[in-house]
Amino acid sequence: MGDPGEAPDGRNHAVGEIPPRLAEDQFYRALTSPHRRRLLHYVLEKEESTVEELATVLSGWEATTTGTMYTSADRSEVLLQLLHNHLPRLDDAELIEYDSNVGTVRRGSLHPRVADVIRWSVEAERPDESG
Amino acid sequence: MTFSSLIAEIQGRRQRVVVYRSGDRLEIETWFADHGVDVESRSLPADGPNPFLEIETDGEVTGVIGVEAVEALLEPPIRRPDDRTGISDGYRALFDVLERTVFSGMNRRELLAVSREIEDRAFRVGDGTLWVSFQTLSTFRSQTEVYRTLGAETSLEIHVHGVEDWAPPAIPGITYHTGEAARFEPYWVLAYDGGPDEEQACGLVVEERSDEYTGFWTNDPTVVEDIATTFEAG
Repeated sequence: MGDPGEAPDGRNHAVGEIPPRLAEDQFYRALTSPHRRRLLHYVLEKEESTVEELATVLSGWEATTTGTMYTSADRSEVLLQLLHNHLPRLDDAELIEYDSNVGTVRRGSLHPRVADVIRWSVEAERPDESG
Repeated sequence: MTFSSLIAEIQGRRQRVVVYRSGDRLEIETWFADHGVDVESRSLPADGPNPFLEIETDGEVTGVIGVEAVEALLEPPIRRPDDRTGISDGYRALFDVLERTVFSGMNRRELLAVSREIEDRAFRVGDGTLWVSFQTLSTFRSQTEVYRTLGAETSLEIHVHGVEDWAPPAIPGITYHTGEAARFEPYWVLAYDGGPDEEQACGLVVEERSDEYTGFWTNDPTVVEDIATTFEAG
């Protein structure tokens, strides 16, 4: 929210300057994992999420995409990846605010165009349903 | 140990289903609620994943699965145990993810679908012991063809319990037990010990309570052993 490029009316702000973040390598590196892109997509719509909730959402996302079941062990694996890889990286890139002490995640202050790139990256991954 | 106490023991576990979805309440949530399962929902962003379920037991997540994969619960498939159609894969996943969940208000169609899954496992392994109680032998009547296949095409040892209100045909591999059957009359129960592979052990225990069935299915070898012991004690 504190981002100078952020319009008060959020994502509907389609015109305006291009946020400098779109020229940063770190931003693209943060997006190199489909799990991180999904995680960001989810966090964009939420005030605050817990790490446990994110582990379930990523497991469910993968389970519905592949038509498999995620067991307790599979989900624990997702949780470990979140704690040791995805969340610290996204926090370093200032795309989320991760509080590792209480296990909560909030969206970072994202320019609406940055949020659009995240949404599009996930939407482009979906199987072609609407054509 | 009785089948009632087995159900009560499983019922003591705190089981909860959390449905993640973006739109309105789903049919499956109504199904869980109608079947006595604690269910709640959380919202997903509109362009996010398809709806899915998280199953929790005593506060721990035991599985996460797409709603589409468990929709077989709404209209359970009834197959012959030697039928190799794709339906069974989805149903098998459902069997695993909801094992040891006590459902109430189950109907016969649902019981038959779960029973068929157990018979199918026994058929595929082809060895070991299968215990069944369909309350009365006349209920077994409609299953005779299925059991004729199981008896003829496998090395299974099959024990059928039931109140003797019909004279069943002699089928190789099948032993009928009617002596203590009154003790089992309120129960629809199957147990398969997995034969050489304990991992394949599975069972179903339900009790008829005023025309509705309450109980659970399982793939836990220890619970299956308890079911078998209860049969043998009869």
